[in-house]
Amino acid sequence: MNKKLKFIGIISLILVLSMTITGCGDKQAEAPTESPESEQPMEQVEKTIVIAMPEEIEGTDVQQIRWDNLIHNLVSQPLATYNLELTELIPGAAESFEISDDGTEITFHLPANAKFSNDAALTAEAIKASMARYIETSPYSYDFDPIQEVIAVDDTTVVLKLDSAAAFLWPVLTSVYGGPIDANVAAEVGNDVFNRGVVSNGLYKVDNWVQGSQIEFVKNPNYQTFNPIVDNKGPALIDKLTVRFIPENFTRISELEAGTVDLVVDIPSENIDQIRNNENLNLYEYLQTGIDYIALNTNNEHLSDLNVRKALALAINKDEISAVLNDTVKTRFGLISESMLTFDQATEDKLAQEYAFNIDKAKTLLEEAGYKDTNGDGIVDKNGTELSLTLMVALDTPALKNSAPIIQAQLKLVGVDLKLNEYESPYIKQKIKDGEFDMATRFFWWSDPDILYYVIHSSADLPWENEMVDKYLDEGRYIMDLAERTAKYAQVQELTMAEVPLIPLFSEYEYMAARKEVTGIKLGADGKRVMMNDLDIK
Amino acid sequence: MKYLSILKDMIKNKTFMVGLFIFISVLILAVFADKIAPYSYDLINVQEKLLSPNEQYRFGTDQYGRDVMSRVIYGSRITLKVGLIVVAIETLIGVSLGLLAGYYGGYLEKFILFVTDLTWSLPPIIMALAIVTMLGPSLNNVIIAIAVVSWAQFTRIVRVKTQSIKSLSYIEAARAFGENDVGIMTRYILPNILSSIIVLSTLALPTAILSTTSLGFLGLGSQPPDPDWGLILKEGIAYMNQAPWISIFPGLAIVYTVLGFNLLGEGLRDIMDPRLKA
Amino acid sequence: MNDIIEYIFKRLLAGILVIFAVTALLFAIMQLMPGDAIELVSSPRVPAEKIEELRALWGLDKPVLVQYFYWLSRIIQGDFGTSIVSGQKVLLLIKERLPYTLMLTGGALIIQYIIAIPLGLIAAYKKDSVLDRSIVAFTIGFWSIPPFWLGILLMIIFGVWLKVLPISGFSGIKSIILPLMTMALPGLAGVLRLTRSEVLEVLRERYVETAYAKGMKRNSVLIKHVLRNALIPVTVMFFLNLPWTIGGSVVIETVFAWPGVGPLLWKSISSQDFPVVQGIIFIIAILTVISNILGDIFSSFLDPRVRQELKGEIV
Repeated sequence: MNKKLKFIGIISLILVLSMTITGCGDKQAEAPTESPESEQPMEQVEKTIVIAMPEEIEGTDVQQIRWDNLIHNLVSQPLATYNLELTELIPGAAESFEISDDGTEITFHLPANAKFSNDAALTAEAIKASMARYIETSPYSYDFDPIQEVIAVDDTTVVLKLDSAAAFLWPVLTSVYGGPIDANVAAEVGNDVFNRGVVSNGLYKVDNWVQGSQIEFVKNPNYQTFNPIVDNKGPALIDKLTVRFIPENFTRISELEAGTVDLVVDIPSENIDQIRNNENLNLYEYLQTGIDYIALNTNNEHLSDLNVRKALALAINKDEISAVLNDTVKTRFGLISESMLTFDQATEDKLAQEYAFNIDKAKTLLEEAGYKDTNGDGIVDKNGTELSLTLMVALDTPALKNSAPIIQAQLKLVGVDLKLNEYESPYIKQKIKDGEFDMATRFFWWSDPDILYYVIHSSADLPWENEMVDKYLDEGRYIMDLAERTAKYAQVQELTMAEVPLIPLFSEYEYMAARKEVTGIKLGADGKRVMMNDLDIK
Repeated sequence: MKYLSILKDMIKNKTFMVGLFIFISVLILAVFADKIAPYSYDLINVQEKLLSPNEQYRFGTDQYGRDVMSRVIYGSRITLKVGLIVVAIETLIGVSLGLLAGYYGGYLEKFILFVTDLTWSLPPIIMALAIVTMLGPSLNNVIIAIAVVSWAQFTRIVRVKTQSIKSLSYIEAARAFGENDVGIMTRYILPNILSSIIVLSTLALPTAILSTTSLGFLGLGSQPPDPDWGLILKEGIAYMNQAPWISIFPGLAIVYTVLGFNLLGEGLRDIMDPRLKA
Repeated sequence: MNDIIEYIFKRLLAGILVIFAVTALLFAIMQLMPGDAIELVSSPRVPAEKIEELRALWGLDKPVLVQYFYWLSRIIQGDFGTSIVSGQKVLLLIKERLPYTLMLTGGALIIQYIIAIPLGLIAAYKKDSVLDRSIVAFTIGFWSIPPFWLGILLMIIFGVWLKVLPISGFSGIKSIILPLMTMALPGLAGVLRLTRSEVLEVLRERYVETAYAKGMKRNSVLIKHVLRNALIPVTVMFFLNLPWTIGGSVVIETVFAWPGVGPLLWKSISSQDFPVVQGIIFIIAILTVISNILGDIFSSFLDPRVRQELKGEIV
């Protein structure tokens, strides 16, 4: 008996110890630096900031990612950018730039001593190599289709020759996707490693990435900018920056309130009020560059009738939705939001009037379409079929998820039976593409109205098609003059909404919150343009 | 007579009685929800949102102005439905397969063991997660998924017990009398293992309910506006600071009910089969 | 001894079969989900042609069986492949995260045993007393709380109100306490119940009474004879429970932003990142099979009754 006991004891101990050791051991074993550079300067009195965001990014290489966020803003700086109101182009990494009169030639002037974060020279050749790699590597390589040729005139001058005045190129050039990277290092270490530690020209460089937990950044001593809006045009004031990934909302907010995290990106709407009322925190607000909407399947037996679609649009009380969501959304009747280029208030107002909440009108339209409640169950029907529809709700978009029950209740008032089903957005996207849906919640985010091409053009997933709208969308891509372009997209919106293939709901306000000790954040109208140059902490 | 003594044991066993009381109280809530609940569970009233418990709304209101108490009361239906159906399916499949495997042996047994091992080879939550993701998030799919990954516990025990009973002499006698296989399994073997099955089933209830809650936390399971306790709890956590009542009450309801089933099962085990080590 | 070796061998063989069957099953399940990984990760801006290109690059356009066997042939050579979503090597992803999960699951089991065994002993010794009842009630209480709620409540009490422990993430020993307790507390009841009933049973045995008669002091009787025998099934249970706990970690790791394998698995399943899912499942299945075999070996080795039962299985 004794022997047996000892035997068990020893084996169990060994097993358990080995597990714990692998736990501790491996952890230490991957403390290594992921980035290709070697040194991390450690200063005496270091300023550090901890940022928390819900999801871990795919990678730091702006040329390999499919979704971008704040982190990419930190590691990379495009040659030019927009001012905060999105009305004017201003320099970024480039000292200055010129656009030819016909818009087909763009010239960038780089500063003489420009360097990447690893001290390699940031010359015109480097820009050329970086762009070439973008075309080769990025899932958005077609962004650079309008570019016929990139010429490195001399060390500090880059000329882009375009095949046309592609207005839709600028949002790319001025976004993180346009940030230059060191193509030589990328080729040397391979895409995988480069994605874990990109070498670019941003405020910070990657120091260490602990999978699933956090990424640590240190300031890039070679950073300089010609952006006139920020005060600090040199290296960052913060020495060390850690971005933690905390998926559970409650946990993330708790950390912020406890002060163990300094800045939080993505505050759920449920917590806005408590943050607003918290004296130790500052709330930053920006409007979604895009809209949340309900896509309609115009092939559905009920939805193929324009009157039914209009009735649905009229039956939804967007103000009530906004109230439930604590006013964290801005009601939307058009297809372009205030934070996007070519937003036109007049168009938005016009559509708001046309489709203002009106239950009586909705009921009348349904009647005209032949729907009556013949059996007194509260749901209208036609030819023996009840007007019953299923709405696929994006459960990963809280604003849409939380609005769904309200919309369900609102539609019931006009006799429409709406069933709700929650799914992840990618699944919904697939179903729309296959045409297997009645109604589905969707959204888009991009500062340029060209995104509508991927939403309502005939080539997009939505079953609805309209030749005129297609034509205008194609034309809108190439109009450089802002006023002219605005008019064109106004036409697109009005034509589209005349047939209601989708029902715009709202544009979400996104929030960042930081402790009062954190200062210097400049937020562009589209929220993506976060200027962190002046970021400081007391 | 045997049953009378069991009944006496039941009444004497405090654990069992407490568990029974809890179970019956939840059952009453579920059956008479319409009469007991002051409001309907999906009555949206935006003006009255996030009110703390008061006279009109005993448990307060949620973010849509719905009465939390009514939602908790109606939610008992979902909890019981889930628990009972999941366990019923598990038991049915698990016991049948166990009987077959234990009785017939041979390749049938090997095959059943293999399939059972398969469902047991991964932690249940992970399998259930994959199954529900494949089938789509809904309460019914969660029920199926959990039942599928949990029947193995029944199969194993039933199989072993069947084997040991099978070799007893009175089974031989029964066969001599012309009993066919199914008859033997149902009339001779089954009654002997019934008490173990009952205990196992009762003890499987809490796990079934908690697993549903965990899957609900991940977004699989009941869809709004169903008053599923796990769903209300999960959504209520976001409002923990401003309206803690939204999460506290369904949470307590879950603990109360699951505790009840746990006690019921423990009590039953003490009464019927103290030697059973599941 | 030969018996045992043959048994181990047969079980290993069966185990290997199970491992591959499970990976095939998961693969099949993911194929049945609509869409595929490329679609799922791409934003609306990515055009259809590019998606097709990427799909071909990953071999997602090939027939399902081909894809599976391709994966199978790679993994046998130790090549776990690359994540479709993040482009990182799967083995690297797993290697970095698995230790954190094992820390929690292994640690939780240890804690359960450290706390529950002495408690079970006390409870059995003082059977039906107030102490016994409260211990049992306490542990069953924890057994009845939804794990994620328990985690959040603990986080609020110790992290937010008392501020004595970190709220989330890994930052040293202190940060492991809350997630560990959340994992360990619910399972206490199971171990406690088993210990208690085993000890009770041994206490009933004749030879313990004989030992009393011989005049041995109560405590030494308890510890020497009772514990020794009662611990056997408890240890067996340890091994059988080992792989289970990995399942519970998905929810707890999400709540505490713990960098373990759980959330990765969850994300990969819903985005159909099959190399990652297959890789993780593969490893978990291996761990499970090994633990099961070890558990069976121990129980047959130590407990002749169980050995009989197992011999039935060898048929």
